[in-house]
Amino acid sequence: MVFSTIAAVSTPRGKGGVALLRVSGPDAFAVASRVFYPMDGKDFTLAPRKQIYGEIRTPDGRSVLDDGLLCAFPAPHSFTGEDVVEICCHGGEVVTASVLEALLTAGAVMAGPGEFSRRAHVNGKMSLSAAEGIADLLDAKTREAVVLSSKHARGAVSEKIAAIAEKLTAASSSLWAYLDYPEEDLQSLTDEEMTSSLSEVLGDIRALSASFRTGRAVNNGIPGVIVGKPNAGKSTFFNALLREERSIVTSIPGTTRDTVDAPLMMGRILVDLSDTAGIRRETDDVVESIGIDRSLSAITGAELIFALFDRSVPFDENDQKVIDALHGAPEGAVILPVLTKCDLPAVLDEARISLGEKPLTLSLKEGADLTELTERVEKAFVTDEDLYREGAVITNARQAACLNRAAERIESAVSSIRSGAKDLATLDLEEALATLLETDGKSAGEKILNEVFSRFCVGK
Amino acid sequence: MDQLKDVTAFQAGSCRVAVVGAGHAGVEAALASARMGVDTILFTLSLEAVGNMPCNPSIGGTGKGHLVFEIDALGGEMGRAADSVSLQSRMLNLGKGPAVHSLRQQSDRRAYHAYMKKTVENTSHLRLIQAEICRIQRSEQGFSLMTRFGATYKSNCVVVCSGTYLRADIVVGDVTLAAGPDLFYPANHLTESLEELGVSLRRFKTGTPPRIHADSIDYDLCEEQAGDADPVCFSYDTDRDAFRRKKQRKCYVVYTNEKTHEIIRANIHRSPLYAGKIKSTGPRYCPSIEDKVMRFPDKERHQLFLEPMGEDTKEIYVQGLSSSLPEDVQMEVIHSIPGLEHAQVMRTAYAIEYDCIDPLQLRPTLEFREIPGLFGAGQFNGTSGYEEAACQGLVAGINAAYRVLDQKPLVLTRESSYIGTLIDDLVTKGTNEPYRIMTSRCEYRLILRQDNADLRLLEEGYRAGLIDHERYLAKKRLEKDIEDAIQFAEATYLAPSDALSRILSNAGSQAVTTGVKTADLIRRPGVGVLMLKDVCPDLARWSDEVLSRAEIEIKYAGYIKRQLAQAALFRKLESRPIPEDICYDDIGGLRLEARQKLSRIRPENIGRASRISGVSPADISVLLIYLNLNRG
Repeated sequence: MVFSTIAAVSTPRGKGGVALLRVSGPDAFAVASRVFYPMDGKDFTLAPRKQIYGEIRTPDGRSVLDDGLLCAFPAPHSFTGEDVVEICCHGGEVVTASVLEALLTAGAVMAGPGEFSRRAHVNGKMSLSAAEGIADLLDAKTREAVVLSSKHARGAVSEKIAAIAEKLTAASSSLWAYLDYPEEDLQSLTDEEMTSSLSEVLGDIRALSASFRTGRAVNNGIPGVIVGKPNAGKSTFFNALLREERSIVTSIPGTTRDTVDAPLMMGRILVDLSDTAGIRRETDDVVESIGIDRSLSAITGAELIFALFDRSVPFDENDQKVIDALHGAPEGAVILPVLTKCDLPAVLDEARISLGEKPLTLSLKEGADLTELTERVEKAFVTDEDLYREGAVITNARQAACLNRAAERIESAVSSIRSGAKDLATLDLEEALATLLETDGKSAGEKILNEVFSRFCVGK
Repeated sequence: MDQLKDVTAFQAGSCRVAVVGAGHAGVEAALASARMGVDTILFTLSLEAVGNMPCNPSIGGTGKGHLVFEIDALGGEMGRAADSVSLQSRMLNLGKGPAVHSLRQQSDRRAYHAYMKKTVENTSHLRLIQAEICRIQRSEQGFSLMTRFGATYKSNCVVVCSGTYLRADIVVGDVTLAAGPDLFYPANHLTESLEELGVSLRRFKTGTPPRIHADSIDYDLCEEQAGDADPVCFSYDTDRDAFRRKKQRKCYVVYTNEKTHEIIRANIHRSPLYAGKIKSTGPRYCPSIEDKVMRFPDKERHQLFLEPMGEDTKEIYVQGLSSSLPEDVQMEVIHSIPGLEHAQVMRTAYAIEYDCIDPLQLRPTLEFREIPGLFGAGQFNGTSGYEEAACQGLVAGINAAYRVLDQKPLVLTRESSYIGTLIDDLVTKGTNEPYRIMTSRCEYRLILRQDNADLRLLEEGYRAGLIDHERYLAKKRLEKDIEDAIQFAEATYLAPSDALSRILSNAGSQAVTTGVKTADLIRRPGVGVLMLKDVCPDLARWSDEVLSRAEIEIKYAGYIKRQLAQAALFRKLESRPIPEDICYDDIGGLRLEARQKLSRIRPENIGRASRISGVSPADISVLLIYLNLNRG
C-alpha cells in the first residue's frame, strides 16, 4: 500500500505577504520539480532543508506564475515523516491558488482535512495526545493559554488521569473478587467498604473536571458582563478595566444604549467583557428599552458578572431590578458586586445588596487600583492553584464531558452496590474506567480520533 | 524418533475427524463431529479415562456455570451428564444480580465417566479406541496418525485434546513420576511429532489436593454446606421434577490455622515450587496451599471445602489444599486442621507439569493458523478446568466437521457468549498461565446470562444439527412468550388496592395511590413479578420461568440497552477487516512491540487487533488511519 502525494496551502486564506504551500508523499519531489525552477539550475533535492530561490511555473513550463522559495525535507526527517516540500510564494489569493493548481496538475492530490497530521501520526511523528495539545496551542488566544497547553502537551493531565484510573482499578478489584470468588472468605466485605474507596475516586474526578472552569477561562475566555442601573458608573468601570476610553461616559443616565464588547485579561483569565445599557424599571425610550432587554439577556449568557451599585445614592427600585435580573444568571456564574463612586459620602444601604459575595468598593475617578478586583476574579476561576501549577487543568470540552460521564457511572455503581445489583455495578465501573482512559485518548474509539483531527484545518 | 524404532506401522483404517484424547474436550469434540454425521474416531490412552474428573468432583461455578449452559444450548453433552450424576446443586452469587448467578453442581465422578463412556459408545459414526497416538503427520488427504503399536489411521482433520497428559510429570516433594493425572500413563511421544508439524509448545503446571476417607472426618468440627432447597439443573433435556426430588449430599467447610501455616513455613524449602524444581507456570487463581500461606502471611486462616467424590465411594476431596509438598508434610498439614486431626489420606496431593501450546497459534475456529485441518482444544490450548475444556472441544469438533462438510465455520464472538469471550481471549491475548473463565473477563456479562444462553446460542446449535427441531421450536415459543410478557407488563396498569399495598409493603416498597404500570412496579428494587400474580391474575398466562426471564429484561432494560449498544459498536469494529496481505513493517507509527505482535497474530479485523496485548490504542489509531488513508 502506498500513499498518494498530497498538497495544500498551509497559510490562512486571504491576502498576506507570503503564503506557504506544502506537498507531502512519495512523489513530493517529482511534483515540485515540475513546478519549481531553481535559479541556480541545480537539483533542489541535493540541498535538503535549505531555502532555494527560484521560479514557479505551470507544469508545462511555459508560463511563470510567481517567484519564491522552496525547501525540501527528505523522509523521514519531515513533519509527516514522508518526503515533504514547502514552497513560499507571494500571498495573494489568486497567486496562491494558481500555484496550488500547478502542484495538483503536476500530480499531487488535494489534502483532506488534517491529512498532514494524520500522516504524521501514522508515521510515528506525533502522538494523539500531542496532537490534541498542538490543536489547543493553535487555538490558544493568550500567552497564559500557551503556557498551559504546553504543560498539557507534556502530559500533566495524562499523569493525573492515569493516577485516578489506577485508583479506580484498585477500588473495583475488591468487588470483582467478591463476585468471582463467592466461596472464598471475602464475603464479609460490606457495601460500605466497597463504596468508600469509590467515593474517594469520585472526588478526584470531580476535582479534575471542575478544573475545566479554570482551563476554559484561561484558554478560551469567558463571557463577562457589567450590569447596573443607569449612571451606576458601568462605562467608567469598563474603560478603567480596558485602560482606554471605549464606552462613552457622560453624567446622563442611559448614555450606553447597546452593549459594547471588548476582550480583556484579568490576571491569567481572559474575559470577553460587555458593557451594557443600565437596567431600570421603566422607560419610554424604545431604543433604551431594547438596550435593557439586551442587558438582561447578556446576564443569562454570562459567567462573570460585575453588578455595579452607586454608593452615593440611596438603594432604589432600579437597584432592586438589577438584583432581580441577576436571578437569571446561569448556575455557577460568578457575580461580583461592586460599589462605585466611593469618593463620595456613603448613602446606599449595603445590607440591601445580598449577592453572597462581599461587595468591592471602588472610586474610579482617578487611576483606581484594580488589583483586588483582579485577584478576586482570578480566585473565582483558578480554584485550585496546586492543580494549576502542575498544569493538571482540563482545557477542552471533550475531556470535561468524558470526566463527567465517568463520574456519573461511578455514582451509578455506588447506588447499584447499595441496592444489591452488584452485576450492574461492575458494568458501571468498567465503563467509568474506559471513559476515563478515553479522556486521555487512551481508548481506540474512532470517535476520539475524528474529533481530535477535525480540529485541524487543511494543511496544518 | 528413536523410541519408536520398535514399531512396525500398518494401515488400520481411516476417518474424517480424529480426536486425540477423551477428556472433557475430546468427548465433546468427538460427539459433536459424529452427531453432525461425520465419521469420527476418538482415541484415548485408557478406556477408564474417558470423561475422567482427576481434580474437583464438580461442574460449574462462577463463569463456568455460564459455559455449561452455553454448551447445552449448542448441543453439547456436559450439562446433561452433570445433571444426571449430580450430588448437590447450588446457585452461587444469588442476591448479587442475575448476571453473576452461577450454577455449581457436585458430581459423582465415576458416574460421570460411565455416563460419558456409554454415550460415546452409543453414538453412531463414532468409534472409541484405546491407543496412544504417537505421531501425527501430514498426508495427501490430510493427516495420518500412528499409535504406539503401529496402527496408522488416515483422517482429514485432527483435534488434539491431550489435556495434561503430554509429557506429564507428577511431582510430590522430591519425587517426580512420569505419569498423567490419576497416575494414568502419560503421552510421551506426541510432543516431538507436533513440533515437527510446526506447532510450538511450552510447559504449564497445575495441581490437585488430597482425598481423605469420609469416616475419618470429625464432622462436629465442620461447618455444613447444604445444596439449594430448590435446585436448578443445567440442561434443557433434564427432567426438572425428577431433578428436584433427588436427595442432595452435603459438603463441609473447615479452616487451616496458625499451626498449619507454621508447618508449611518450616518445610517450605522442601516444596518443589519454592526449591525451584518446578519452573513451569501454574494458575494464580487456584494456588497451592503453600502458595497461599507464603503470599498472604497476614491471613490467619484459609477456608477448605470437603466434597464427596461419589455415591459409591468414601473418598472426600479437600478443595483448597492443593499441594506438591512431600507426603510427610502433607500429612502433618492435614492433621493440624480441626476436624481432620484423624483424617486418613487416600490419595496424596500432587503437582502436574505438562506440555501445551501457546493458543496465539490458533484461529478463532480453534484451527491452527498455519496447519489447516489441525485443531486444538482444552488444556492443550493452555486453559484449566473441565468446562473450559468442554466448550472448546465442542467448538473445535463442530469446526472440524464443518471443514469436512465444507461449510461455514462456527466463530463465536465476545458479545455472543462466554465461550466466545474465552476463545477470543485465548487466540487474541494469549495466556501466561492456565486460563480460567471468570465473569470479570466478559464485558457483555449483563446480556450473557445463564438464563438466556439458549436464546443466544440455540440457533448455532440448530445450524450444526446438534439441536433437534422440537427444541428449536420450543425456543422460538419461549422467545415469543417472554416478549409477550414484557409487552403485557409495559401496557397493563394495576389499580391501587389493599392487596397491592400489602405486597409492596412486604417488599419494602412504597404504596401506590393511583394506577401504576406493572413494568414500573417490577422495576422497583425488591419487587418481583411473581409477587404480583395475586393482584394481576392475567400474569398466570405465562409460566414462572417466562415471567422471571421477562422480569430481568424489564428490571435491567436501561443497562441492557446500553450493553446492546456497546455490542453493536463491538460488531462494527469486528467488521472492519484488515487486508490479509498487510505489511506491518511498512507502518512506521506502530511501536516495535505492536508491529511484532500484529505480524505474528495477524488479526482478521480491527476489533481483534485492538485486544492484542502489546497493541496500544495509539497503535490502533495509527492502524485505522493507515487503513483509511489507503482506502481513498
